[in-house]
Amino acid sequence: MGKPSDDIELMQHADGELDERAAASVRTRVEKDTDARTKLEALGQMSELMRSHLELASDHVPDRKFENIWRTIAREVGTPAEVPPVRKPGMWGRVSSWFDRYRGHVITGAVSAGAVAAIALVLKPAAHEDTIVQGSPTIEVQPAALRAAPVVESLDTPGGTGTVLNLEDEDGHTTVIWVSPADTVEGI
Amino acid sequence: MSYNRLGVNKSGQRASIPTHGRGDPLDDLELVTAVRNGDSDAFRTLFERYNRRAYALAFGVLRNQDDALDVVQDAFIKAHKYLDKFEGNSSFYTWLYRIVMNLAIDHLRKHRRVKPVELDETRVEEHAAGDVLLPQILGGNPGRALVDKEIRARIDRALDELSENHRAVLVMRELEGMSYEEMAQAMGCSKGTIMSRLFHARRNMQKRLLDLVDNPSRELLEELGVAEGDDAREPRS
Repeated sequence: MGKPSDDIELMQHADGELDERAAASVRTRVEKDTDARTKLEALGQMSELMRSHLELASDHVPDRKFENIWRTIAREVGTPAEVPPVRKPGMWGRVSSWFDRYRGHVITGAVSAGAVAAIALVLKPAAHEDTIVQGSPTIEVQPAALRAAPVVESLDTPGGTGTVLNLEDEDGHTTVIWVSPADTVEGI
Repeated sequence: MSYNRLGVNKSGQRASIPTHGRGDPLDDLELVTAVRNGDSDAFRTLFERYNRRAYALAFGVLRNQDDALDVVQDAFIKAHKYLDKFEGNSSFYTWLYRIVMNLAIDHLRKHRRVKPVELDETRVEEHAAGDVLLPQILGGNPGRALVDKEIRARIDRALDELSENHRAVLVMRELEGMSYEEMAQAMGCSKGTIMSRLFHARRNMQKRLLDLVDNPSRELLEELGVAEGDDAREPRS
């Protein structure tokens, strides 16, 4: 099964701790000696096993624990503990953004705040309900993420065409009906 | 050895996350410069980038979640305090893990539980007679450990049973790929002692995980001096 000193040399070789001459000698031995080759392979397996296992250890620690120690660190080093969250677009922003993306396909550039009427139906009002005022692009809304692509349906209305957007986010389900006068619509 | 699972390379120079509020991630040196220039958010980005990796290192040595978190916390405070001394010759993480390792070893010394002194404090050849590496382990499939909770529990128990010095060198070597020289500096001992500790740590781990080997031969068991019913031969339930 080999001498311990041989095994120590094998380990040094596996760890890249031998000089080139000694490493060449070990390589020659490993080529000829099945037992040495198997031991070298076992060392490699042990290393891989340990590394993977040790890396996974941090997965068991919830984020809040790191948040807690960050607060202590921030206090100690004089850094603000909280990083301001990136402001997410509100309901108006999301609707406008959607129209910006599809403007070329759906509505002409003539569509403006004054030419459309948007009606929001909040089917599952959350604590912070979005408020949308007809025709006004300067709406105060709470930040919310657009997690799902809006489901869009079109509809005909007297004297114009409407688009229905169904938005899902953490605030609940919101339906927005965007109505455009007929003379501003190229066709849907 | 890379460390891609957490999105950073071994050198830690270019990690993919987090991005410090920009589309493209800043590299560590840019963040260090930003911290020096008073950008407080930059230090949080460094913290978020390396907190779990630093934790894995500390936990590997200390085997206690609260102790490891304390070490991570102290390490970042110390890193911030001495950031001016970071010259950028090595990666930020290399610098940080030395701090983490030193604090973890200090913690071991201060809170040392009663553990026998290893027999390997002298030259390895003098006491290694009869100790050899196992020629097989895990049936050639160490990847099983990632998905098998029972195997992971066995590894945890085996790590817990190692002496602190053996565990420290094993973690430094396997998790961070530290050289014998680097480990010797971190632990304040000779390279020979490190080599000896590492050899015995590995062999002890092999022995403790022997029950994961597929069908070990009687000759192997005899060679190892492992009798039926020995701890290391507990059958997997």
